[in-house]
Amino acid sequence: MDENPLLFGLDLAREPAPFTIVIFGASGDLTRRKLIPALFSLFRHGFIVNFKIAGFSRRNWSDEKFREEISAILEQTYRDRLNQELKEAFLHKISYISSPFEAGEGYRRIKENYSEPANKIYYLATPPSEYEVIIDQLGEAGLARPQAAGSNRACFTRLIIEKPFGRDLESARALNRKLASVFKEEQVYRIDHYLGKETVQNVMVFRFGNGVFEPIWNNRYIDHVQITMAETLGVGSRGGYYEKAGALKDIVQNHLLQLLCLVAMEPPNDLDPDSIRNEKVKVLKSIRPVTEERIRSETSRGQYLAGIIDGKKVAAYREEPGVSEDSVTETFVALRLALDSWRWAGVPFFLRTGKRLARRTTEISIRLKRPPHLLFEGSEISSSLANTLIMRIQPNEGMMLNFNSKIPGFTTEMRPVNMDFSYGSSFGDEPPEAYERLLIDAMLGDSTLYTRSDEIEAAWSYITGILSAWTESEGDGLFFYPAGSSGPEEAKNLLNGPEQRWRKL
Amino acid sequence: MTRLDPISPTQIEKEIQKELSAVSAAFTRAGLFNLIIFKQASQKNPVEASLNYLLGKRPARIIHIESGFSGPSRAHVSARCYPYRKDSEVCFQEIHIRNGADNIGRDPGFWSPLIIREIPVYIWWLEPLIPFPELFRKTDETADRFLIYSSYNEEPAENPLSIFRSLCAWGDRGYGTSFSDFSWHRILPLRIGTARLFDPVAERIMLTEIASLCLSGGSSSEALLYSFWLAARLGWEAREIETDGLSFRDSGRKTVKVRHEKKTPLENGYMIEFEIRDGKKLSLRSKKEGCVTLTRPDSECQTMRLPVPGPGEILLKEVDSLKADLLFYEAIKATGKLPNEAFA
Repeated sequence: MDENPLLFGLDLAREPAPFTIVIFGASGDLTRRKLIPALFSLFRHGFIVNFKIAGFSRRNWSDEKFREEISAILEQTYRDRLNQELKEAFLHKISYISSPFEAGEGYRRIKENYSEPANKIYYLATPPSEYEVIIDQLGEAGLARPQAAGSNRACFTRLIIEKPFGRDLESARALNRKLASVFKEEQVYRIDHYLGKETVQNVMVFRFGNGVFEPIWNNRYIDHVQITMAETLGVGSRGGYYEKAGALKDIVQNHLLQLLCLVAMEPPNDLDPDSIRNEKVKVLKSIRPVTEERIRSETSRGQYLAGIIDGKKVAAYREEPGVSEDSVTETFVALRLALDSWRWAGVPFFLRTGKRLARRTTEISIRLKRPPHLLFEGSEISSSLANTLIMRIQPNEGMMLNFNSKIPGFTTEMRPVNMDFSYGSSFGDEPPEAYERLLIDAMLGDSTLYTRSDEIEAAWSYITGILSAWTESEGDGLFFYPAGSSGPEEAKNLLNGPEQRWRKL
Repeated sequence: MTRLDPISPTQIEKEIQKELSAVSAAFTRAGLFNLIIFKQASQKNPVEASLNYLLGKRPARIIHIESGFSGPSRAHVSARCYPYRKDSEVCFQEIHIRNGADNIGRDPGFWSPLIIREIPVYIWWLEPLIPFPELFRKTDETADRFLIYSSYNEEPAENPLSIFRSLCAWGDRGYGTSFSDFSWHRILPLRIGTARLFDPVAERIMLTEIASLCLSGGSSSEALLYSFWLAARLGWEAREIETDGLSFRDSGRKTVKVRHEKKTPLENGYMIEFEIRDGKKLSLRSKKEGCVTLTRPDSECQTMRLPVPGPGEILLKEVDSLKADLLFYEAIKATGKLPNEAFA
């Protein structure tokens, strides 16, 4: 009997084959905060059954000590809701390898002690500086090749790698070359947790699961698109990291460009991961590069000063711990992008992100063109006649369509009104954590929500153009904005069409 | 809560809006579905527990139709909301109809104008299923799905096998609305556990060699649905109803005995023991907390969590979907193959 007839129709199609997951950096923060809770949650809900977890780290821990740590994480996460029998069953699947990342011994132990389950997932939860040595060691130990399968089922070996994927185009290419020297591209899962968010995934459902939007989703009907990711938080304790990153690398290169892809991509032929990623790459490759001449008209960067957030005084960026007092790192970026494609020719895309802004919000706003002939009285002087479709990613996830309605009375005056859909009013249950979704996808071999090498390089290609132009101008062109505002005044200059102004924060 | 006398759909709508604005700061009018619940007065039922589970998760218009009252039919309306995060609320709009001696309250002509037309209509039937209710036929055009709970009226009044055979006949007559049985959803962990028990290649080949199985725990409906699911999946043909179970014939024309012991709620624990023709035994045992242990002849025990879904969880799953469950119909169809003499 080749197939199990009892599995038919049981909605267990998403249960992965037995696997061993080796977590490099097992004693670190990411493992503690995200990976272990996500793995336990998947186990607890019955999504994963046959698996082993091997923690791999420098710290001199025993299996027992590692299990104690995991046990403490679970106790802390679930408190009195934790089923002890289930916890014990989970801990039973866990062991630990204490080894420096550069020493071959640890990798030999993987090979010798973890032959079963033969399917392997290596998770790089370490700082990026460790990636190269781990990739090399996995290759040298022969661990990158899928293990020979005992039965007729093919085994898999996959590598999950955390962002950042490089610092610029050159370093991203170097990392991709390193990965390609040991793993095949289909084995590599570059994780950007943002894509695991339900509301981000819903952008595709919204566009391609409804017939009403796609016919107007083009330059004939759309005036411009704005994508905003605004935070009220400052850099906090991440000042040291942020000094090297800045808003462009930290947010635009990954999150905002991913949202751009989802909004602008052509409908894929099917839901095959590569069909979707091919369409996303086309969008990234269609972004017109920024030249030095256009850097001021297409980009705007800023840095926050002291100000008021949530009724409290907050410090300027340059006063944050770990930040240089003459730092020119941008905490705000606004971009005007042009996509050279048939669908989007002439439609500007405005991207904006910043820290310490007036409101925390992530949204995509589609501004439609005005009606071709203004029929009703007063409409020729109104700037609010064009319809706007807003996809709110967070908070208050939902959709809103702003359209015009007649004001009751003897005239034909009109005013904008909103048709509002809020997830919170229709679906009250909490969506799964992004890491749960992404992990189960990797276990199942579904790379749709992971980033492919050419996607990374296409994104960096555009970003590196901006970085180079900014480097040329040093701090010139960096504008300051008070914390709690909508960003630097100069960002307004990017928008110059009659229907174009930043959406209020 | 506003009592309405006399009852008119217009007045009910008006009062519902008043109730909503009184209980909801956000005054959210979102509604994803209509749920019409038929139940008997003064009968313990799973409605309130299920609605409490649903409250805060999905907004809905809920019409309670309760029978067994004297005097004229009456109605009142109410609303309840549950906050979601900081700035949102998920609300129920509820219409409570007490069907009186005039029998007006349960007439579709009375309650169907109260349905919000643009969203699906689920009819949850908690009244007796034998004889098969005429209302299903009358509301085939209105309803998108009928929800039944075959275990609910089972003891001692209703023979679940008759219910399943009525459902089988319903499908054959070409009515459009699909049925869903809560008892079927309650045995999901048993089905998953069994599928996993036999999933390793060494055990999978035993599926054609099952001599008998004994299910300890669960209601008669649940035991029957489980047995007929296995039968449909493994190509067994039902032959006979016996005092303690059923007898099937497998594809090799060998007899498979299915016994059901100990009618206790699945939540209290259950056990399924399979005997293979060579004498080997496999089992699936659940404890109270929903942890299930699979025991196979030559390997370590395997533990997993497969809790039995409560009526609230089942209701939530149901109202999110309009797809007919093909496996359920497959199992129901298998009951239809039981020879009529078996009922003699």
